[in-house]
Amino acid sequence: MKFKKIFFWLGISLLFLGLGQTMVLAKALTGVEIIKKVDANQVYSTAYFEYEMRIHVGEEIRTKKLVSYMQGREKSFAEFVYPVRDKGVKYLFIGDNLWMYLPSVEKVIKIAGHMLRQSMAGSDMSYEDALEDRGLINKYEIKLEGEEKVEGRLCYVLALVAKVKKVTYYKRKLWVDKELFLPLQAELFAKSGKKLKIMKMGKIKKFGTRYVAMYMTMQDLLKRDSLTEVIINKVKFDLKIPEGIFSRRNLMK
Amino acid sequence: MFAVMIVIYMWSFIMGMMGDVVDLFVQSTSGHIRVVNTEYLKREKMLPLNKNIANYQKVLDVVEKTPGVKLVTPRIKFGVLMEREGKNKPVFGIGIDPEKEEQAMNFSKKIIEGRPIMMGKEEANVGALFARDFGLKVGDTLTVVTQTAHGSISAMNLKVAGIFSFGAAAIDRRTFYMPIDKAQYLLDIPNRVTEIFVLLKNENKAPMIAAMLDKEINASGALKYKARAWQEQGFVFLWMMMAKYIYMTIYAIILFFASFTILNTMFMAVMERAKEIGMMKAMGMRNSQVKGVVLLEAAIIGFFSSMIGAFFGGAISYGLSVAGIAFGGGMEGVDMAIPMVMYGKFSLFYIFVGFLMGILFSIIAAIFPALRAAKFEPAEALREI
Repeated sequence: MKFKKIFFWLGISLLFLGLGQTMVLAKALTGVEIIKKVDANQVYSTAYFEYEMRIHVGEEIRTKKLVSYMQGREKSFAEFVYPVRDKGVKYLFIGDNLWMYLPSVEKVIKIAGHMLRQSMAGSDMSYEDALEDRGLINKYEIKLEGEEKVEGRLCYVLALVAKVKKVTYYKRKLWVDKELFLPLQAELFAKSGKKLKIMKMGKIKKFGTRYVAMYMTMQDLLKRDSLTEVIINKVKFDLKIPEGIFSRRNLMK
Repeated sequence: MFAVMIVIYMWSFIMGMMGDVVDLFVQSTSGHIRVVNTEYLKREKMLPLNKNIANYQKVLDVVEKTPGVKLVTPRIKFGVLMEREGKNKPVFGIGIDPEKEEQAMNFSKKIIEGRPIMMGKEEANVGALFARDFGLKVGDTLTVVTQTAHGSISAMNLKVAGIFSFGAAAIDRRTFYMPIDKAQYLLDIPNRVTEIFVLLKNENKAPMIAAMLDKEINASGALKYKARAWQEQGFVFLWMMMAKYIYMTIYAIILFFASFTILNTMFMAVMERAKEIGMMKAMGMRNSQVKGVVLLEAAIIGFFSSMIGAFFGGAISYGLSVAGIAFGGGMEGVDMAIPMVMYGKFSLFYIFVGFLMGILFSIIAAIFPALRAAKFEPAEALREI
C-alpha cells in the first residue's frame, strides 16, 4: 500500500516534470539564450578586416583606415594605415589587456584604468567599448523585453542591467535580429538613466554561414555633433595569420 | 615702539609677498590680458584643446597694433599624464615661442641648467622639481604622451635642453615648456593656439584695453574670443584683496592694544602729577594749556618710540627684502603658483607712514587723559596728596 502511494506520486511528479520540460521547449528563447546565439555567430578561429572610420565632428570629417587581425574573441591586432599622422600606430588586445604602439616615440604603452574610457583615436568609440563587448553574459542580468522592428527587420529587444559594479554602462538595450541573431542596434545608458551612446549596424552580408554587418555608426551623445561611421571594406575568415602577430614584440616592428 | 616696528615690517612683508605672487601669476599664467576662445573659458580646467584660437596670427596682429600693448605672445597649454613608479602624474605642457617669452618673463634667467628651448626643435625645458621627480638631466629624453585636440593618442620624444626654476613649487614640479610649433604638431592643431598672452605698458589699464580688444578681435560680431584682464582672473586679485583686509585688521588690533598702553601711561602720568597740575591751574593755567601739555608729552613719547620702532621695523623689513622667508618644504605641496621664498618689499614710504601712525595713535590715546587732567579742580587736586 505504502509503495503504491509512493509510485503514484512519483508518477504524477514525473508527468509534471515532463510536461514542464516540453513547455520550456515550446516557449521562446530567453535573453541569455539569444545573447549566446549572437556570440555563436561571432565565433571564428581567425579573421582579417580592412576598414575605415569616418569621424564626424560638426562639419568636419576625418577619415582613418585600419587593418585588423583577430583570433577568436580573445586576441586582436589593429594597425593604422591612413592618414600619415597616424600611420604605424598599432593596437594589441589580448584578453582584457590593451597595448598601443606609438611609432613617433617607438614606445609601447599599456592603456589601462581611466584611459580605457577615453575615445579611441578621436572616434565616438572608447577602447573599453571594443573590449567590453565580450562577456556580457557574466556582467549583466539579461531580460527579453519584447520584439520591435529595426530598419524593417524584426528584432528581439533585450534589456541588460549590470549585476557587477565594474561596468562602464549600467544598462544596455540591444535589438537583435530575430532571424540572423545579429545585433542591429544598441543603446548604452549610465546608472542615472542618461543615454550615453547609440550604435547602429547595417549592410549585412553573408560570408559562408556567418552574417557580418559591414556598416556601423556610433554616436557618443556626450559629444556635441559627433558621429563615427565604420565601414568594413574587406573581410576574410579562417585565414592563416602571420606568426607572432599577437605578440608585444611584433608591435615594435 | 614695538607696535610701530611690527606694523612696518609686516606691512613690508605682506606687500612684498603680494607683489611676488602677483608677478609670478602675471608672468606665468594670466598676463595682463589673456585672449582665449569663449568656449575655452567655460571648461578651462579641462584644458579643452579643441576650443582654440584659429588663425591666431590674425588675432596676434590685431592685438599687437592696439595702443598700450607692450608684448604679445601665443601659448598652448595642454595636459600630459606622466608615468612614474607605476603611477600616472598629471603635468602641464606649455607650447611657447621662446624668443617672445624671453621678453615676457626673462625666460633665460629662469633657466638654472642648460639653455632655453629653440623653435622648430623637439626640445623641452622642464621645471627643477619635475626633473628631480622624474630623474631627468639636461640631454635626457622626455617622452610625452598626450591626446590631440581630436582625442587621438599622440606622442613625441623631447630632448631636455634645460631646467628652469620659477621658485614656485606648483610650476617647477608640474610644468614643461616646448616650442609652440612642435606643440601644434603634437596636438594636431596646426596654425592654432589656446591662448594669446598680452603684457601692457600700464597694467592698471588692463580692464579697459581688454574691453577694447574684445571689440577688435570679434569684429565679425559673434563673441568668439574673449580678452580677460588679469584683475578678472580670479585668484590673484582675490588674494590681494584678502591680504589687504587681513593686514588692515591686524594693523588695527596691534595699534589698538598699543594705544591702551599709551593711554595707561598717560593716565598714570596725569594722576601722579595731579598736584603739579592743580598748582599750575591755581596759578592761572588755562584748561586748553593743560590739555596741550599732556598731548605734547604724548606726542614726544610717540615720536621717540615711533622713531625707534621705525628704525627696527625698517631694519627687519630690509632684511626680509634681501633674504626672504623660505617656506620651502611646506610650500612644495601647495598646488598654487606661490613662490617658495617670499621677500618683503623695503620701502621708505611704509616706514614713514608707520612712524606717523605711531605718533598719531600716541596723541589720540592721550586725548582722554588730557581731558581728565583739564578737569582737575585746583583745590581738589592739591588736596589729593
